[in-house]
Amino acid sequence: MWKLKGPGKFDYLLFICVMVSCAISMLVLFSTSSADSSMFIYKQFVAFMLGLAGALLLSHIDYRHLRKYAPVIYGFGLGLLVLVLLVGKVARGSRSWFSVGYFSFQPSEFMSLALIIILARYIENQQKWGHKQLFICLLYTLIPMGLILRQPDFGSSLVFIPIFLGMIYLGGVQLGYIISLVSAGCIAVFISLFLTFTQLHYAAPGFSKMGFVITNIFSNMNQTLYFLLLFYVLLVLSYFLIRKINRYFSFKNVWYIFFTTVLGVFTSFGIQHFLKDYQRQRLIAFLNPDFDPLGMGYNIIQSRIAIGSGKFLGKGIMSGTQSKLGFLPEQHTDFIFAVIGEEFGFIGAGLLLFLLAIIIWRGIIISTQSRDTFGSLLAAGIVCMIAFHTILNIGMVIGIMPVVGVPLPFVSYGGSSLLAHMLGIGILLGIYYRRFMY
Amino acid sequence: MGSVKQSNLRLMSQRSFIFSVVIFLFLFILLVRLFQLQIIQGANYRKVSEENRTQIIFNQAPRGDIFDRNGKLLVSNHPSFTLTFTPDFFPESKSLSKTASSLSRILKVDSSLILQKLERARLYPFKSSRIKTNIKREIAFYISERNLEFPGFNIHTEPIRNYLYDGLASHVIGYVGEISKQQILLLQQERYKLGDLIGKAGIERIYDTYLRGKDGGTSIEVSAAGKQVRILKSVESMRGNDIVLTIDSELQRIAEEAFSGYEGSIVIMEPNSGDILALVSNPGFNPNMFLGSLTRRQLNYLLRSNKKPLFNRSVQAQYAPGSVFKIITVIAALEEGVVSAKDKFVCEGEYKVGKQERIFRCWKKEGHGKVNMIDAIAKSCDIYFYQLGLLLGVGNLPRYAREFGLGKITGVDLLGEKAGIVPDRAWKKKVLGEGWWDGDTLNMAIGQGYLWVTPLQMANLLSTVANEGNLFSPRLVKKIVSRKGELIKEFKPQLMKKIDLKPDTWELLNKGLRRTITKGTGQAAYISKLSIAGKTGTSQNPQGEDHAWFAGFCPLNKPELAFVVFVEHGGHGGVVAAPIAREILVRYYGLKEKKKAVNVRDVRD
Repeated sequence: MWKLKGPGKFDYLLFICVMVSCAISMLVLFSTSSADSSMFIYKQFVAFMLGLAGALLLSHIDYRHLRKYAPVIYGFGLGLLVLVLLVGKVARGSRSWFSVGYFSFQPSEFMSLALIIILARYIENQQKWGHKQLFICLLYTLIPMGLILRQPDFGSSLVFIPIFLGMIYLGGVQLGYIISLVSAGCIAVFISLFLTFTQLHYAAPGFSKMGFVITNIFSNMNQTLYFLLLFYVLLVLSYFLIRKINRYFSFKNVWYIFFTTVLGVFTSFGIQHFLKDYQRQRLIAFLNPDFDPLGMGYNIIQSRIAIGSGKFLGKGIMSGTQSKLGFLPEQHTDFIFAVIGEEFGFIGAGLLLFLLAIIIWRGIIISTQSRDTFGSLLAAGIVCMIAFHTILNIGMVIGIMPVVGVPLPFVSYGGSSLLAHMLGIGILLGIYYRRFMY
Repeated sequence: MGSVKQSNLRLMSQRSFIFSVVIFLFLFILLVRLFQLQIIQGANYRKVSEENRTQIIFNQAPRGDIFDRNGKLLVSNHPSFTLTFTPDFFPESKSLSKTASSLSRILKVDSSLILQKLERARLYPFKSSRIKTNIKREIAFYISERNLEFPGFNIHTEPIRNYLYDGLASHVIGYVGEISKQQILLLQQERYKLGDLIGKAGIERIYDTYLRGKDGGTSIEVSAAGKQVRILKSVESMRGNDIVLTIDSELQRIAEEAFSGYEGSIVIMEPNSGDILALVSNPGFNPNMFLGSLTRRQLNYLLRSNKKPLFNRSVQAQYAPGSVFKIITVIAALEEGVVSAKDKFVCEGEYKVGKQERIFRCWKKEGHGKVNMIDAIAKSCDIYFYQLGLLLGVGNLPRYAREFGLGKITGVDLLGEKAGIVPDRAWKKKVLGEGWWDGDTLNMAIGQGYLWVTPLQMANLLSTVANEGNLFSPRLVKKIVSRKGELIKEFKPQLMKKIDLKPDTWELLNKGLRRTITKGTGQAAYISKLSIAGKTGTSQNPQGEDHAWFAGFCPLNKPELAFVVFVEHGGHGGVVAAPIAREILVRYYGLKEKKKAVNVRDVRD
């Protein structure tokens, strides 16, 4: 763009795709707006202009300065998260907003960028991966996540997990760690949600009984400990048995299993403690929304109807009955994709999906072409953030993923989210621009 | 250092590839799902979204009015208050059962009944379902004032049936109620929908298609909150057609008043047209009762009590006609020429039949002595008729009975009409598997035994006798007219057949029936200023008290009314039924005179 000089090029494709996505967002906000909600477009436009300015500014600054200031940025982010818990504004049951005069903003959206920067810096400096490195990365991730869960804002905290996993994966961590962590997560989710799942989706008595048994075992700490102890005794015994057959079988495998199960089970305690019954039900309601069509399933069903009724060409701008008549919930924010699907049909929704895919693809290209590991990891982290939000948001709207309140990047109404994603794009543009600079 | 970085970079680019494959796999799944929703199932979801946004509010059409033969309004409509419930407005946090119990206190209806209706309504969150119709004005206002306490509940005004004279002619008019699911399936007609009112009995039921109007409706676009956004289409409701009955409400009222306290039936017809002027079945019911919700006690009384108030005794109950049937026996005997009017038989109070010498008694123990035909009719002498029966043989009596329409439904506009039974040799063989004895003929000759008739059949028989042989199909409806006064359908008197008898037969029969009133068993019905002809009867009832019959017509030379009074478990016709008929006639003709003193011993038939 202007005044940009140097050997590289400006990534016009990425930039244009982002601009078009933002334009679509404005159009849809205009379409859903009524007399009392015209404020949305205005606010979103201000955020967009701010984001554009920030992105162009960031693309100018050499991203390597971010490495230098990473601890400051990260520390500042944590500070804001602590502050928001103290003086933040409560909206929809979570204390996650700063209200500064006319505008309000959500520090958690910027925290993901701060995490990406600090993780990129930390991982770049490591020669090899060990327990210590993994633990420190985990710590960097869990501290802001914990603070956001305190607000509580479940949806916003989730994005930290894919950023963490994606970055350590690309940072070269041994696959064993990833497998172990993912398995632990699966165990945690399974234990916490299995009973709810069986109650909600299958009346088959045997299946439901299994859910009860599992929940019974893991609902009480002592019982869990006995159970785990028994499990480990069996594990060690079987280790010696296997050792008899295979002399080279390593005790490391036992450690992996131990680590995975302990992490999984204790995370499940966290989840069980943190999530209320109805939240758990809502999380898996998408599997069978007709179970409670007026309660948990309502959003899912209405959103599905909105999208589906758009057919190929859509109902036309401002003609979406599902959104205009208020059947569709959260149509400016989390469910905005449903409005696009209803009013612009498969063509419109597909086009937006295509644009977001190009943005992600450009991000990955930028990550691989970066001249250094720091830029590469930075780009990967930003890709993780955008991709995760895109997939979870659209997946939720079209009813194949849990209803978790995450925004659709560049499109959902919400200044903080737009700004954070625009800044991320600014960083990507800067990395691309300097890819041949050594 | 450098080589480590190099290998790191190689690993990174390898992992970047896998990383992007995972992401694009997810994105591809999103696209596939989008395709499935919008392209494959798109048409279906489009339809659902259309249904989502439109709601049809039916505007109930008033039913047609019902008039009596003189144009007096009997059944009409009046605005009423209905409580409806739209579940979507009901917050989830509120307890449905608590609301039901507080409503039950206000409406004085069982709370479980209300809860049941509320839960059924919940299946259609955006539709308003009727919870209780015909609410009292004060209660309706009470609820509307507290609409914050009852979110989702509304009071509407709807036309509701108004039976102006409560139970008057209830068995003719019938009643209306909400259509049942089975009925909708059975009718399979588009014009009926759940929640509709439909005639459940009587004229209301049989002529429902004429009486019911065409519901209007407004198709409105609604928001998710169920609020009206705009009207898409609106259709005016069309009122139903009016029905003019043959019933004379004045005579009906007199008959019901005279009959109050008795169980049984009264049917009064116009002999020259077959018009039913009054039709009473006691106990009756008040059709207005069905408009609100019935209490359990009311339901129990209506459906389970042994008084069976919904049972229309005039056409659904079958009894032995008793001595009234002797009219047929006389006609058969005269027509077949087995006896002449002058022939006399001696009645000694009993009669022996067959080799076993089975004894058949006359109702008068001491006997009537020497009787000719007219005396026999008047005094209802059983011994005389036993002998006629024997002379006539097996075949003739059933033949004449059928000739006068017995054993067949009359075809009146009432549901569930019974045909009665006219037994003969074949019938007995088939049903009881036995042969026909002379005793059976004897019993039949005096109207006992296996013979079964309905009160309406008897009234029609008397009507045919009164007009000397014209057998009409009794009618209840004169015409159906539209609101604008156009004639939709007219029901002309329907002559089934003309029964040709010798003039002498009619003359003799009339003399006998007249003598019954002046000097015979029907003396209790005697009015000096009105020449009544009639016949008493007692239907023997082995299970309990006998049933009392009195059938007749008047005036003798120019019959205007043919009537039947049937009192269930009343005892003797001459003692119980005849005075009721007398009272009706006295009041109907506006006559004032004292009752003639009657010796009960002479009229115990």
